[in-house]
Amino acid sequence: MSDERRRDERAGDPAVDAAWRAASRSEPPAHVDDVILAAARAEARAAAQVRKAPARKAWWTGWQPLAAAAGVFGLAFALVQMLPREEAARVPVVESARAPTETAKSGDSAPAATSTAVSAPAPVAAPAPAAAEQSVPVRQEAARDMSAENVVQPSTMAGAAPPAPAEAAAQESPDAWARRIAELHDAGDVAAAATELRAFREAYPDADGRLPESLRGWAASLPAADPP
Amino acid sequence: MRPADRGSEEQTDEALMLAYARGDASAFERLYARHKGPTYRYFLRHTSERAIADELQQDMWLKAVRARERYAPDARFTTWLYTLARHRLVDHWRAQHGTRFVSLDDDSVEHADAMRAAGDTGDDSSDPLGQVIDGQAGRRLLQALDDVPAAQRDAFLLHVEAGLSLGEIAGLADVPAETIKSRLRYAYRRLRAALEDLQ
Repeated sequence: MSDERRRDERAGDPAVDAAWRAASRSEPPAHVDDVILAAARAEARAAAQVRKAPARKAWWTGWQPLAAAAGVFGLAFALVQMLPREEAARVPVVESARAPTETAKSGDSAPAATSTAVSAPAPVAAPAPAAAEQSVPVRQEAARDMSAENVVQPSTMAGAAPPAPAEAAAQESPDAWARRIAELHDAGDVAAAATELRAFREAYPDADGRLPESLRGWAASLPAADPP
Repeated sequence: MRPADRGSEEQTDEALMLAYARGDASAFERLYARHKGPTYRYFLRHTSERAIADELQQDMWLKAVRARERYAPDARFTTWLYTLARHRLVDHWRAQHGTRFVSLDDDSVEHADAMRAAGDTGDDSSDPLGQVIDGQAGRRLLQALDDVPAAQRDAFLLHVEAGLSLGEIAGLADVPAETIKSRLRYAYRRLRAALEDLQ
């Protein structure tokens, strides 16, 4: 660089340079200075604001990929959790349909009634709205939800009919049925006892008379059939 | 001068421009204070009209302001600045002469006459430059510079006003350094001749 400068000096003329510097002193007017400096300050302010704006956003934009990944993972997990639950939901329905009956029963009659409810659906010829109403409500729901593979005889479920009282009666003597109703009532499960009593009445017109003495007053308070 | 002030004064042009690109407006003020006179005189000696020099000065510096983020200190700031100045000057002449483009690198005397006709008032006594020049030598120098071809005048102004080296001027004009050296020699010869009868 210094060699270059020395060559430059040889190319110039000190007398001319000195005269030039003495003569050439013009400066830009103040209004030009003002315009330029004002524009420069405005640009600097704008640049500072632009630089601040991304800095404010940076704290959360850094978490954006993680948040997106977590969202996708959560959604996928929820979907995976939902899919098997649909399949599994059908089996527990059968179990849940069985459970209330089992808990309500006691003694030797309980297994027989359970097996009747689950494994021996009603014949196709029997179904009637009244008959459906007479069966246990939980059992109705179970029958609606059950798929063909979950029942023992799918063809009989096509009629969607619960076991008929006549068939139940055929497997259970009137006295045993009356005793079971009394046990349900005594155990505090009045609703189940009432349901059984209605079915009992359908099977035996003199059902109330077969009940123990203590239940006859309660039975008399029940209507003959469920309101439609 | 306090040490702190001296330290800030000693900052290079390149450091000041980079500081301005980061948003330091005071860095630009210092930079402008250093170079506003030479750039203004560069335009004024080329155009010989203050109004035009004002306009070119303003345009060129505003362009520098807008280009601050693209500035890369791979060359001297002065070289970058006078590249902008030259481009603005060429644009001005191109607009003045319509389709006839006038090059700064044309060495002919006819070209100098065309340039002068475009920018000069033709009346020396009404030339505002003459009013601000102190002494007869200065006035003669300015008159002599008007007769110098644009390319030689450009090399002379870049040399004495901008302080650029031969190599830097050659790079800026995109010609060999020997060409610039020769242009400078011719320009100095004319200017020296203008001063000879005063000595």
